[in-house]
Amino acid sequence: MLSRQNLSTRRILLAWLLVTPVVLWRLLTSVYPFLRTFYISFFDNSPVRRTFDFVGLDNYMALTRDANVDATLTFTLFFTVTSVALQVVLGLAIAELLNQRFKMRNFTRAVNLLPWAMAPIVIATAARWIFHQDYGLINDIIWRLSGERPLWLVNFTTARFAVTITDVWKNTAFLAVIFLSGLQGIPLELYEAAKIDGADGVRSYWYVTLPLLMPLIISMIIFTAIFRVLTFEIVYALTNGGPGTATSLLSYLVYLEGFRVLNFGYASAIAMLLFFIVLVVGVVGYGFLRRAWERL
Amino acid sequence: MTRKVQASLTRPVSRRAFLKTAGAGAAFAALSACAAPVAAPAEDGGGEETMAEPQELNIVYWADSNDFFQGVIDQYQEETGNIVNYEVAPAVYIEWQQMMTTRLASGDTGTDAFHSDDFQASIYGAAGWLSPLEPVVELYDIDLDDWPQTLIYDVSSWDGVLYRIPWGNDTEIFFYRTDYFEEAGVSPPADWNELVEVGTALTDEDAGIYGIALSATIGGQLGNEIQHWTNQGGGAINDLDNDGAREALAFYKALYAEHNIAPDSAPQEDYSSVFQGWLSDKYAMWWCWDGFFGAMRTNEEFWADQVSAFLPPMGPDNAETITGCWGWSVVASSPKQELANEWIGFTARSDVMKQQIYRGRVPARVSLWADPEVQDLAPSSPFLLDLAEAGSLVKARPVTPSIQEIYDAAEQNVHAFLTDQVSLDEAVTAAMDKINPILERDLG
Repeated sequence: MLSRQNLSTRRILLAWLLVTPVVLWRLLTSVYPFLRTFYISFFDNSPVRRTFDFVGLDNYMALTRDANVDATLTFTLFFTVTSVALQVVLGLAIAELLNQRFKMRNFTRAVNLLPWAMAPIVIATAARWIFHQDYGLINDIIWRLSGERPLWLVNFTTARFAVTITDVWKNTAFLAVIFLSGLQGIPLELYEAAKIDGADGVRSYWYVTLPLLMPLIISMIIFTAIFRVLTFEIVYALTNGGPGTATSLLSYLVYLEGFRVLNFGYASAIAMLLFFIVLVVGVVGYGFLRRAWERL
Repeated sequence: MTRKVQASLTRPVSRRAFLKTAGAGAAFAALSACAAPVAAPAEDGGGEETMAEPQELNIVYWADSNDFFQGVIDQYQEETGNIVNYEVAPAVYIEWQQMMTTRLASGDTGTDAFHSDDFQASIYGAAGWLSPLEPVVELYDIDLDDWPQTLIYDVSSWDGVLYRIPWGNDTEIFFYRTDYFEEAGVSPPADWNELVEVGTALTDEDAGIYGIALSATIGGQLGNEIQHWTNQGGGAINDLDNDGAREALAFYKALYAEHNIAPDSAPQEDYSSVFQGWLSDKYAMWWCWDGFFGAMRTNEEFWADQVSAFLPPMGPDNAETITGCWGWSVVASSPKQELANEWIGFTARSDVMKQQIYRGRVPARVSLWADPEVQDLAPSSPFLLDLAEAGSLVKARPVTPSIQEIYDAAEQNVHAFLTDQVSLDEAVTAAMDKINPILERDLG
């Protein structure tokens, strides 16, 4: 008969045995590529030129001189802030609507998710036509109303707007569903208590709903911001980063350098910059999240 | 360039002639299927051995794979007894390029030969991912003099090594709507000034008709536009810092921004949207790859003598147009080099290459261009023949192993100029600041 201690040891060993393959798999598919990318970022590595020469920090220094990186960082910041802000505000509004009682509510909730359920590349390709000057749905409506046909993807400002609004349209639905689940988790007693204390709808939302949703909102801001920083498909299929480099995002720049022109070293340096930005967003966001939980 | 020469280059293609030759083509296909297999060269190791042990050849083919290509495969299988597994590559060029890059960079052994374009021959060849084809040329006695020499030496070779045998010719030709020209009482323009005059006469913005189509979106298409216009000015996509190239770029922008003979949406137009516009009667002229000319034949409305082509108008420096091709390359990491070489030798044959006419494309061998059947089913071949006869009016793109990087740098900066974000000088300076070190790296 096994002693209690032996049984415990065997269970721990079994646990390790079961977990080890997964850990190894993650090390192989996540940690190794990351470390390899970091390593390559210090080399002039191009399979086309057959180079693998150590260049120290040259690739990182080149980032500071590259006008494309400047333009791309600017739009990445603009895109992330604008898109996240719009998605959160609209997501909260849609969640509030979907939380009301009305006919066909479940059907409406399902329909709301459709844009999110579609592949980004499909949405972006469709958007390319939707924003087309002559054949686009949007311009057709505008033309019928005003006789004008704006050049959405040619003009610097409107191209940025087109990319951002396409992203917002696609992804807001997901946030709305997450916020809806948060709303449904708030006890009704709190609203009843607020009502007894004289709080109307707006005040009740401000003093009950928002504080209780805040940890969820902050965590969604973190995730959404990280995904925005990493966005690729919409730019790839909608604008190719244009006009000029007006709508180029960092992920798209990594793609251009890595897969289009095969400068693996420089692409790795841009990827590390991207990682650093994601890390900062994550760490700062986590700080806000902790404070929000502490307040609760 | 005289008007007389210009007029002789204008050849409407009749529907009757097309139908007549389509019948002949069907008969040819039937006869080809019945014909005795053409023996492979004796140096190949002997047909009997190949027949005894069928081998599997894996190829990747870019573009549409209609019945014609299956016919090519069937013929090869019948002649050699081998089996061909072919994969149709993604139609979007960039995705296709990325797919092949990933495979080749990882030492792929699952692909033996593939349909490659101008950029790939140079980029992959320089990287050592393609097998040199000189031994194949010798083994199968391929007469390279039968190809446009620029296709062999400028875009299929790098550093003196041949990495591709051109299969289908692609040349940018100026095609136009004959009915629009007749209605406006104008003739094909002979130079850039006339291009503006003719374009102005043809443009009716209220009716949504423009003199010329421009596809200036980023992603390769603007790069081609930059190359053919600046080339006529005496520059090139990798040589923008000169008066000729600047004049060409300014002229190009003026076509839609000043003369209004192209839609102001030009910087967002791609081949797909322009072709759609062309089929919707939006444009009178388009300077583009002749493959589109072949594709127009599928449209009943346009086949009624409404579309023809003319030699590109004379620019400040020359009247050249750009040319290129698709061809077949052998993957260096393939374990079936001999089999892949056999495929290259097979596809280089005139009778095999000719079958591309069933998809409206011009075979790369010049001797086929005068073939009446080719002229009828590949409607741009008469114009290519005229271009060849008129002198050296075709020029390959300046392909080097970093051509994609050069294209990207030129496109991003010129596009910023075309969309009023920077001045011409700023665009040219920024582009060449990137391009010059690349050229230094590639060419030394």
